[in-house]
This record gives sequence, C-alpha cells and structure tokens, in this order.
Amino acid sequence: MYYKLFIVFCCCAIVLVPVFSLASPFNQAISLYAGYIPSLGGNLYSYEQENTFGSATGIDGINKSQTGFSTSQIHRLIGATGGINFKVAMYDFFAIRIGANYFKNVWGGKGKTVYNNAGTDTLLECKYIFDGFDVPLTFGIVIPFYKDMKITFSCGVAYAWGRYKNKFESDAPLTYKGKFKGSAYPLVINTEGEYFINEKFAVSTSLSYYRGTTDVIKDSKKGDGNTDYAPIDFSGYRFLLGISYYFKPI
Amino acid sequence: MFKKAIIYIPLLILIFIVCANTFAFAQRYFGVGIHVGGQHDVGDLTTFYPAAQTEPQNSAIFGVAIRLSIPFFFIRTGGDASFTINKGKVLEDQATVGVNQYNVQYTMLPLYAGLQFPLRDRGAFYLGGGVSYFYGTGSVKLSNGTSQDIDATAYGAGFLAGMQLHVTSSFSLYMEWIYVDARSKPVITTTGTYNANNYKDLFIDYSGHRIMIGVMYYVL
Repeated sequence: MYYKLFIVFCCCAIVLVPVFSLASPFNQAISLYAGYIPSLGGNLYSYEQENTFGSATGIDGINKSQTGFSTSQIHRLIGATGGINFKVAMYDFFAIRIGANYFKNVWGGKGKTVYNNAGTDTLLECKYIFDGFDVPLTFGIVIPFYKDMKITFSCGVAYAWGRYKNKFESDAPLTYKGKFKGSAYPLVINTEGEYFINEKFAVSTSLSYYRGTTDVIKDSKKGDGNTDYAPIDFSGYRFLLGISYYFKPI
Repeated sequence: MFKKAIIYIPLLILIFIVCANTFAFAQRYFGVGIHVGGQHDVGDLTTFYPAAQTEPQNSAIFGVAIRLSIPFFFIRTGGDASFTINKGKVLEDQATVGVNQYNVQYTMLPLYAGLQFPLRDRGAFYLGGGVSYFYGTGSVKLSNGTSQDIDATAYGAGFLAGMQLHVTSSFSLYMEWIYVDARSKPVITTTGTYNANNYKDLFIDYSGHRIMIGVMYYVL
C-alpha cells in the first residue's frame, strides 16, 4: 500500500514543481477546506445485518419498530471532512489538483431497533462508526471570470482508505462487533468556485462526488464469536468551504 | 407534526424579516422567487428492499424561494410541495416485498447557505450546503390489498447548486439543483414475507435530486 502512495506523491511532485517566474504560464495554489459528507459510508451493509437481523439494506433496513419496544431511529452517518490540496493552474484554463482529506462520522449511526431472536422480539442497540482518508488527483478546466472569480470543473481518481466498525447488542444476550479496513480507487468529480478577495487569496467552495467501493472485506474483530463481511463504500457527495492562496498574483 | 410546522414556518419568516432589515436592506439584495421542477424516483423503494423491481414514482415540484445575498455569501430558504405525476409500482415479487404501489407527497422546507459567484451584472453561480425538513403524506398499497396512509417526517442534509440570469434590475431567472439525503423512521407495516415478524419496517425515503427553474423578484 505504501509504495503506491509513494508513486502517487512522486508523480505529483514532478507535476507540482514550483514555477515562480511571473512570465511563466503556470501558477500554483494551496487550499485549506472543511465540509461535510451526507450518507458517509452509504448504507453500511454487512452480511450479519442481513443474516441475523433481517436487514438487506444495512443501516436503512435495520430500522424497525414494534408496540411495546422503545426504539429510536438509526440515521445514516453524516461525516465531517477537512483537508488540503495543491493546485497547478496552467495557461489560465487548465488545472491539476492533488489533495489529502480526512473524514469521520459526526452524526447518526446510533439507535435502537427490534429484531426476531429465535421467535422472541428483542430490543437491539446499534452503533456504526466510519472514518478514513483519501488522496484525490484530478485534472480539469478552469473558467476565469474577470479578475475576481474562477470556476473549475475537474475529474480524476482518488486513493481512499476507510475503516468501518459496527456493534449490535441485545439483552438476549448477544453482541456482534464488526471491524473492516480497506482501500479502493474511487472516481472523483469536482466542481469548485473561487472568489478572490485580493490578487492572491480566495474563498472557495466545492462540490465533489466520489464513486467507488472496496471488495467485500472479512471482519477483523476477534473474540466476538462470529465473522462478518462487508464492503467499504466511499461513494457520495462532499460539500466543502475553504480558502486558497495563489503563489503568484492572478 | 402540524404543531411543528406552525412553529417553524413563522420562525423562518421572522428570521428572514429580521435578516432582510438588517443585511439585505444595506446590500439591496433580498429576493423572493417561485419555481417549478421535478424529482425522479420519489420514495425510492430499493433502499428498503434492494432487489425490488419498480416503476419509479415521478413528481412535479412547486415552490417558493427566499434568498438573501451579501457580496459572495447567500442564504436560501423557502418551501416546496410535491405533486405526483405517476405512482411508484412494484412490478415483480410483491408477495416478498409486501408493497404493490406507493404514492409519496411531501412538503420540503429547505435552509441552505454557501458562496455565490456574481458574474458582473449578468447573473450568478452559487453553491451551498444545508438541511431540509420533510413532511410526507400519501399512501402505500400493500401486498394483501389493504392501503395505509403515510404520515412521516424527516430531516436531511444536502447541497444546492444554482445559476441566476438577471433579466432586469429586479427580475432574475434561476435554475437550481438540490440534492438531499433524508429518510423517515419506519411508519408502515408491510405485509410481505420479507417482514415475517410484522414489524413496522417501511420508511419513506425522501432522498434524491431535484431540478427546478423559476423567476425571482428582488424586493431589496
């Protein structure tokens, strides 16, 4: 895994060689940003949720209720994300971007449902956790508007690593724990707008869409008496706000 | 549910009156718009039962947009109501899924904020994130032939991307794309073999993309 990252960084270092000459058609920018990811990890499907708890759609289908049971809705995860990216703008109209992002669930993924435990309705407490990082590399077209705005559309691929954990507990007694770690290369589409406060600084907003999942991964949690299987889904939208600094005045 | 709506709607209006008087008047940039639009696959049943072969529901959307702008920042709220164009149908294996047909109608209260990129005096491109509140009604026809009414609320997070074209100094045309990720708690007990234990298991999925086009009048 590390040699792949090394190759990606070497390629990017070559592309991102600083070009400070004012006459050069290249410019560089660095951006810091933060935002959120609705539905982080998708529906968080795993085999045991279907086999034991009757949900073929992970966190969506596990929500059930029954008279006499105090259940609470288990929402899909909303993730927070933050990161940094480097951009080389070429001839005003083209750009290559490489970034590094961290993401983690901050809301949702907890609650109580009911399931059938060998003929007996049983309350089940559920918990889902998802975090990871990704390194997107995209190439795109820039549309500059006068001297105060740029809109960029780019696409490419990311290296993404994720960790997904789940836990199901009931008074049966029963405890199922799953832990899955893996990586994938999701496709990335990004639309970004930058509004320049002065010649070098801009506030930015972007909307990204990732599409990609890992293969099905075997549960790495030991000692809970069962083995679960799940893919890690990196697909979804990301909304970001940030600031950019351009090395040369635009 | 209606109590919540009665509290939230005047609260939103009050916030915007205050905002309009505080900021928009100074910036002369407060707009009210009306729009029409649509959504495909309303109430997407495959998030409930992934193998369901469905004829998706399509809905038209009519709504009001309230927009507050300062130089490169905007807040957008309003209200939208959906009207069914065609009901959703489960085409195969209804006895397993437990649903034959569904008709989801909803009212959406969006609240989004973000950056806007004015294109001189010709228009603006804008991109924002936020939340939407849904109140859904309609009905679900179950596999045993009975019908149950939908009464389901949900909150969801999403984003909004749009463009405005300033036609005159007061009027603009706008197009918006709103994506929201929102599901209710289970509100209906399906009657298929998938729900052998008769739990309340069917939730209403409001998630999806909405495309809208409208006209905005800038009051200030």
